[in-house]
Amino acid sequence: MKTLILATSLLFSASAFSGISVIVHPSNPVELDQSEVARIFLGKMKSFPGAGQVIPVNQNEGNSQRADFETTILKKSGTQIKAYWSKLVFTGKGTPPKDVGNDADVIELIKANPSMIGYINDSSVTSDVKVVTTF
Amino acid sequence: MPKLKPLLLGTVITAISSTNAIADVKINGFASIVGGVDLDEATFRNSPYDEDFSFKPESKFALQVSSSLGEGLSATAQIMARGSTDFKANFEWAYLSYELNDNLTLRSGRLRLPFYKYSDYLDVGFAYPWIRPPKAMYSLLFNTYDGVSLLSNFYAGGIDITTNIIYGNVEETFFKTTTPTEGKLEGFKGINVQFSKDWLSGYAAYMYGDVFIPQAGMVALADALDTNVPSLNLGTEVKIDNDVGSFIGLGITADLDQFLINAEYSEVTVDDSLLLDNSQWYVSLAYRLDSYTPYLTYQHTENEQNTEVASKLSAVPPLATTVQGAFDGQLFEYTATTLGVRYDFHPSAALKFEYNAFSEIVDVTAGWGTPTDKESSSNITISIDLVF
Repeated sequence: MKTLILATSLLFSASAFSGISVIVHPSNPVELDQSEVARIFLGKMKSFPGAGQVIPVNQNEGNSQRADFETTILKKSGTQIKAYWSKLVFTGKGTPPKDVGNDADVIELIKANPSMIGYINDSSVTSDVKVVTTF
Repeated sequence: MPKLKPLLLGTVITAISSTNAIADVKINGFASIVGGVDLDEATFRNSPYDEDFSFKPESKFALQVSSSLGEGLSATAQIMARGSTDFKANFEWAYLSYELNDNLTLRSGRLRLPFYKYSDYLDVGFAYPWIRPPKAMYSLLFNTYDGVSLLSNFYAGGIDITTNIIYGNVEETFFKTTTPTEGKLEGFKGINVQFSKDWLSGYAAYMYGDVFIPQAGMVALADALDTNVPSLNLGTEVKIDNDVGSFIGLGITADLDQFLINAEYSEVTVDDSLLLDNSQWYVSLAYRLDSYTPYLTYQHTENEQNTEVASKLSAVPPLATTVQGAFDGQLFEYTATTLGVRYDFHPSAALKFEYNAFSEIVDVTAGWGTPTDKESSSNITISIDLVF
């Protein structure tokens, strides 16, 4: 029971006090600012500047990281994002980033694929990935 | 728990990599269940409802299947069933798309004509605040064509510029509600250019082609003219016989934190025919308040009187009167004020309620008003829009 309480409080303090890190593969030399990250996740930028194809990956709907990312970087609410993608999906102009899970799932994918970009909680960052920007 | 993770991850990775390796098939869909009722006894043609509450005129269900075949090639088909056609399923879109590079995509097949800002996702109610895009503006009776489209997108100086260049043909039943006539638009070509920067976006569109719609009444009038005054050769000036039709559209959108402001303007002409030149515009303001988005829209549409053909008949007054009557019978005008609210009650569904007041109605053929005696009407609609 004590561990559970401790774990819960750790979880809460983590999400309350840390920010979000945008991450790529350690070999990826790319430098991106927040508006470029937004353009990638809105399907407007399809390649890393000066580098190859970019595959953005999303956290699952309902994760606080996703909500934070959408509000701060994409500057839109979850509903607005859904409406935005429905415009592109039903006109064949784009497909939204795949929902791949949580922080650990995002890290696992990115460390294996230099084309990918994702975002995780600051406290989850490991040496397997490189942080591009934080907010 | 830590032991389970790799297994779960493995599944996710396999799912993504395997769908990339073989054909990646996606199924999406959307639906709108719309009900409405006219608040007046007589039916106005721009309200699809009547005195009895009905779900049929505007409800629709659509399924889209798209398959990525790799190397930038994909196939997409969208099948829609509309209440207005007894939910008979129809291919709304069906095309192959090929990404030439990051900036250019070539599409070929059945596509949507890029007339207006919301043309591409006209039917996806979830994508906009209203129950339907303003009808005064979105009044053309055909939306799709068969042909090609070249999409390009460029980014410079913080501005995204997207263009859509099209070429193709339209085969459609025109004048559906009055005198259904099979017609076609041939060699239809055009361009739609959109820009967006931060909260501001806009577009300009120009399209034209040869219009052929052998509507019986027009053909009869043309025959009468050619029989009675063959020397003037006026028949061709009233019937729609491969006449040049053109469309100009302009629009601007300001999408601020809480405010969404939309304005669009368009002009439609079909030369040398009984169809009158018409122009329409609207301004809409929506205000986002958490899950609620109240909105207010003002629309206006009007066409211009044409006295040219009748003036050539000054030597034959009875015929001049008949011809002018035929032209004036096309006169159409109204304004509409729409007050509504969208409520996002679910991440993938919205509930909307809307009141439309139509006034200054002139619609002579449908028995609504005259240029000197205008009428008014109103309706109420409610909808649930979903995407899945």
